[in-house]
Amino acid sequence: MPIRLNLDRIMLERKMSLTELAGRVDITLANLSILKTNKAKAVRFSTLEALCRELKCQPGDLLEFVGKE
Amino acid sequence: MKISNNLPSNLRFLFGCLRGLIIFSVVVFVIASLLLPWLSSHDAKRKPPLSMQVLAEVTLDFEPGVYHVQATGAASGDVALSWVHGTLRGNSASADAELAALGRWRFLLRLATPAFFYVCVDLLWRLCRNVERGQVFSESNTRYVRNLGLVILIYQAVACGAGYWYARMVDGFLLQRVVAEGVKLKLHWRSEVFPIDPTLIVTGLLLLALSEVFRQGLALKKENELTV
Repeated sequence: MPIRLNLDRIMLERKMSLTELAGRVDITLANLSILKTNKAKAVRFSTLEALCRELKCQPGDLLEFVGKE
Repeated sequence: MKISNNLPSNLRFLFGCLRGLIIFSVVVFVIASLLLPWLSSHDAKRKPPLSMQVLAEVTLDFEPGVYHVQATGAASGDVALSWVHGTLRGNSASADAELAALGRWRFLLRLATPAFFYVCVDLLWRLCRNVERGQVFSESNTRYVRNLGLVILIYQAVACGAGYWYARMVDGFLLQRVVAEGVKLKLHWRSEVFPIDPTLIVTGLLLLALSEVFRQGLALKKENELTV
C-alpha cells in the first residue's frame, strides 16, 4: 500500500504501549496490530478520530504517502 | 422472513444420509449384478432368467395393421399411437459374447450415475458443514461450489459421449442380430443416443456463476476484515 500509517513512531514518541492504546481507543489488540503493521486496507473515520484524540496528533501525522511500494 | 438456524445442520444430516444410501445402493447393485448370473445358472428353468438386465430403451415402430387404436365416439384415425417405447432386456449370462459384452458395458455405465451423485452430495455436505460453522464466504466454499458446477458439466459431457458410444454398439446389435416380427426396433433417441439433461447443464452453469459470486464475496469479506 502506498499509504503508510506511522502508528509505531507516534506511539514511541508518546511512550504508549499497544495494549494501553487499544484500551483507550476501544479496538481490539489484533486490529490495532493490523494498523501498526500496515496490513490494513482501510481505516474508519471513527478509528482515526479516536487515534488522533488519544495520541494528541493530526491525521496527517499518522498517515503518510510513500508512493509505489 | 426468519429462516431456521437449523437449516444447514438439517441439510447436512440429509446429505450425510443420502451419501450413505448411495454407497449402500451401489454395494447392493454390484452384489446383485454379480450374484444374479450365478443364481441364474443354478435355476435354468426359470423364465425369464434372473440375469436378464436392461440393455436400452427402444422405440417400437410397428408395421401398418399390427395394432388398431380407436376412441369411442370418434372417427377412425382421430387418435393414433406413435413413439411407442419399450425396454430391451438381455441375458448377461448369455452364451452370445456380444450380448454379454453389452450387459457388462451397461453395468459399468450405470455405475457412473451413483458415482456422480456421491460426489455432488459429498460436496453439498461439506458446504453445509462450513455454513453450519459460520464460514460462508471462504476459500473452501468457493472451491466446493465451483467443483460442483464443473462436476455436473463434466458428467453431462461424459454421459453424452459414453451414451453415444454405447448407443452405437446397441444399434449395431439391433440392426444385425435382433429379429422382431411386425415391429422395427430403434434406439430411443432422447434417453440413449443423446442423454443430455438441459436442467443439469443450466444448474452446472448457474453453480459456476455462483462460485464467482462466492469468490467476490470472499474478497469483500477479506477487505472488511482488514478495515479497522
